[in-house]
Amino acid sequence: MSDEPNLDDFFPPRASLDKTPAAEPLGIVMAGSLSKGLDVKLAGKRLIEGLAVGRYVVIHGQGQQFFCMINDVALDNTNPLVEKSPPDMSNPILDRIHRGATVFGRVHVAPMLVLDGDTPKPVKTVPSHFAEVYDATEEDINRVFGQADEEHFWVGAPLDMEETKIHLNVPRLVERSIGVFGKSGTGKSFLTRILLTGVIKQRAAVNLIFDMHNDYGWEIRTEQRESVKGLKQLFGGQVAVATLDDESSRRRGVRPDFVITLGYDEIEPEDIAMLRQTMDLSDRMIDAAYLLRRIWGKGWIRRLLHADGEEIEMISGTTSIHASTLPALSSRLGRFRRFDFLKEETTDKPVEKILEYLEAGKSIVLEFGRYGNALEAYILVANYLTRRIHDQYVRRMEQALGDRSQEPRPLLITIEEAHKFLDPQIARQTIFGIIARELRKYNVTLLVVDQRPSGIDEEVMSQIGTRITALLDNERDIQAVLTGVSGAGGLREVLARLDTQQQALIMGHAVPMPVVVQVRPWDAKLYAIEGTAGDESLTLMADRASRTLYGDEGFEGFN
Amino acid sequence: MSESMLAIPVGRVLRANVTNYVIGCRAHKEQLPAFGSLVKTDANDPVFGLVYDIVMSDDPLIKQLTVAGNRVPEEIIQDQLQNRRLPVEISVLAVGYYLGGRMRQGIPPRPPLSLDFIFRCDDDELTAFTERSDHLSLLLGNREIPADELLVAHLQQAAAARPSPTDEYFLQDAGGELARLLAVDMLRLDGILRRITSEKK
Repeated sequence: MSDEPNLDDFFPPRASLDKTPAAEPLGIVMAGSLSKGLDVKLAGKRLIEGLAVGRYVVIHGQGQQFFCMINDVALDNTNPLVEKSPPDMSNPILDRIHRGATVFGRVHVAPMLVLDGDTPKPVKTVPSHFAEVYDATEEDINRVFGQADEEHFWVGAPLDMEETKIHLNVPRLVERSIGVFGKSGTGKSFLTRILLTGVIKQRAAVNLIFDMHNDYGWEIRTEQRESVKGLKQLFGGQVAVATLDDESSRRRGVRPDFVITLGYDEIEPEDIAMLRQTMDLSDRMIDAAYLLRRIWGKGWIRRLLHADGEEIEMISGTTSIHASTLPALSSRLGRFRRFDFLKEETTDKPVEKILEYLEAGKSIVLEFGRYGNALEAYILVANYLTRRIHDQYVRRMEQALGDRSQEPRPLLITIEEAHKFLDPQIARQTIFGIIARELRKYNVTLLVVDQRPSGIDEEVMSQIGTRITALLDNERDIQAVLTGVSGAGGLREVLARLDTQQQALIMGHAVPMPVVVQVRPWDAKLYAIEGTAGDESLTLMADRASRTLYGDEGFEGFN
Repeated sequence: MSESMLAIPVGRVLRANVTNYVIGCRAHKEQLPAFGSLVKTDANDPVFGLVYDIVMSDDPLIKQLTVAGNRVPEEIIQDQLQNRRLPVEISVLAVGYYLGGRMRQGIPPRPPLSLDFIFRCDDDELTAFTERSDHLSLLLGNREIPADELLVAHLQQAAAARPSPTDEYFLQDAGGELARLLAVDMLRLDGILRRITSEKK
């Protein structure tokens, strides 16, 4: 035998390296199927308490690796008698003997993808019996979810893998509508802010955010009564803050880029049709509104609100409108008088102003101030603006005739309390239902934030490309979110066991497989990594300080 | 047990088949191998076995001496103890063998030959032999020997041959194998495991 050194001693063949994972296997595959998932027997040394639903494992099959998610954890034994007559586990050696041999943990895993080469592929088969199962490594996770680049944005970490990053493919995220769901207090706004940060940072789309509770603009008060930065502070000139309630904005130290007012003359019957449920408008009232618009023209609301009994009688007498309908409609629309942003007459052109910003690549956060608590104000304004902006987008897309350079920038519209806009009874007619259904045909998509997904029209839900779901405990809501998702049975367990805050299940178009993430914190580290405002933000802060000291006279405008 | 004692043969093979063999010896009480001990033949490819029975047969003189009471002179008793006319018979279950330079567990391909010397195995040999536990199924499946008691004695001796804490690791591994083999018989498993671990509790 030759004493000469063999090259293989120093550099083992690659195949053998690939076949020998460094870590101890977590267990072995016992049984299962592609449709129902696989049962894995845990190794004796493995603590079952260290495993949680939603975690990832990789099964090393004979020819390929299967990336799987744990969706159930169970106790098992080799003989049911052990349950009736448990061994003496006070003896530590007996304890160690029985664990793993007589009694053992069993986890149910759903095969999600096959790791073959750089691109994960859909799984179409299962690994063979007794294939070894390993914890997914950071490298495995990156192979599936991609690494940080100009398309991928870091949203959080997989469960129990704090150092590993899960990235969303942002261009794919905005390609279709997005849903952020979760019961009250689970951090939907926080999740939405993270997503919007990714969209703005990657410049995947411009945003129009209907900010009901002032959760996105300049500064946000958390539930813990702490102040955290809003999108404007992070992205400076890339984000503009508009407001319906200038007074509230100023009180909170926000200097809005512009104030929005709407004229009664601009409101059309279609704008109030969406308020049918919120304002308890009957079909007759809606019909009357259309008729009044035809008879009185643009000033129909103003004229109805000022009409005396004689004029109302005259209209009732000369049209098919019932005598009691007009006073009732007038009384309902009279509630608009509480909204100071609605003016008898205004020269403001809010739609043009917003489009101007959007065209310049600036996202807009529209704060509702004190009107955030008035649902009819929120629905009216969101519907009013979106209908008109969508019309403009449709027109521009048609003018572009497929010339991508002429197309308007992709627009992502964020609405909260989405079930009020996308209720099955109205979703087919409303602009939001239309946008959700037409996908990105006109470069407009929705980001809907809601706590009652079961209240959203089923067809609209099926068109939501990416669903990001915090904890839900209502069975109907869970059902609604999982409709149309393959392997929903396993995900149901995962969804019902999320932490109450900062955990979410992401599934759909932007991720290759459903993923439970511990959402990254919204803190100074995030500001430093993602924020692009830099000196510009400092200028803004200096400006705020200046206004506090000297009032508005010293202020010369924003960037 | 001292090395010099180990070097003294326990006895010679009286009769044998592939599954067990019987040793005849005239050993003193303290030289007799204990129940559960690992012994081996002295051939080039030794056959290993576990002692599962020790029989002392009688003869007419012994019978007379037992009924004679205190009238038998002490020198006659000592002569009988030292120069027995009938051998002590030690039954051994064959559990392993050497083949091609490797220690294997299982029934040997051929039995030891009559009059082959038999020796006790030292701690190193016992430790090496019990590195694997394939022989445990041979014991569990044998209905003609006190299998459970033999198993307990053998595993306790094998554990005692190891330094701490490897003795506990050994018992865990062997216990795990027993749990696998006796998965359908929990009561039997529980009884065996309790006894092999009783001294370690």
